[in-house]
Amino acid sequence: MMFNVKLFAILAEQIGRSEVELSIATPITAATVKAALQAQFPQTAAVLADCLVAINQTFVSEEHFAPDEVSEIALIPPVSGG
Amino acid sequence: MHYVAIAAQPLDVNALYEKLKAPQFGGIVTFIGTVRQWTDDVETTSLDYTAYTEMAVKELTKLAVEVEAKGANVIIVHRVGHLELTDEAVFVGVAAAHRGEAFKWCEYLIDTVKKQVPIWKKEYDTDKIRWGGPNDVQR
Repeated sequence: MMFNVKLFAILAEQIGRSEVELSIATPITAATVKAALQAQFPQTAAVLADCLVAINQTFVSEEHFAPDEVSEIALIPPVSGG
Repeated sequence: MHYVAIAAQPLDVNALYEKLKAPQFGGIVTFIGTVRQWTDDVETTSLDYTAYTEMAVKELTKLAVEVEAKGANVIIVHRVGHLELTDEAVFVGVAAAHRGEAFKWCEYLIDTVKKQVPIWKKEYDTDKIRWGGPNDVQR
């Protein structure tokens, strides 16, 4: 299924956009989101390895989500606030 | 009552400090992160901070609520936008009954903000531009 995925920081800069539409395998997990970006933008592989995934503004790892449970997906590069 | 924010304007640290004061607290610890010029032999000239603002506010709120449940008052405000040397990037303030807990919780909060809140630094150094600082993972 097609989903909009938010991108930030180095990842947004690499792709030149702050949001992309990706075909993501369901059920949705952190791994399927990352695989979807890598399939469409292979140049992001190195950065993507260090990224976390947020679904509905919460970090996720092994959890599975049905499409209708997902309202927002984001890829989170290593944070550097403070 | 906690106050957390992602701020596009310069931080008014005196006003934030004033918000922490209350009769039940006898110790207020504040941490203010500022833009540093030198990191070893790397010279920084300025920074850009960006955030996933909605999620960052949620994460900051979770942290503030966690510490306030122990009986403190918490303020966390992080800047976004372009910052010059010495500009304030982050304010973390904890008001508690006694100094020991105020120091401990303030350190816990800034350490956790740096690890898990979706905020990013783009550092303009004299040799190159870096995402994160010289001591962070480089690509």
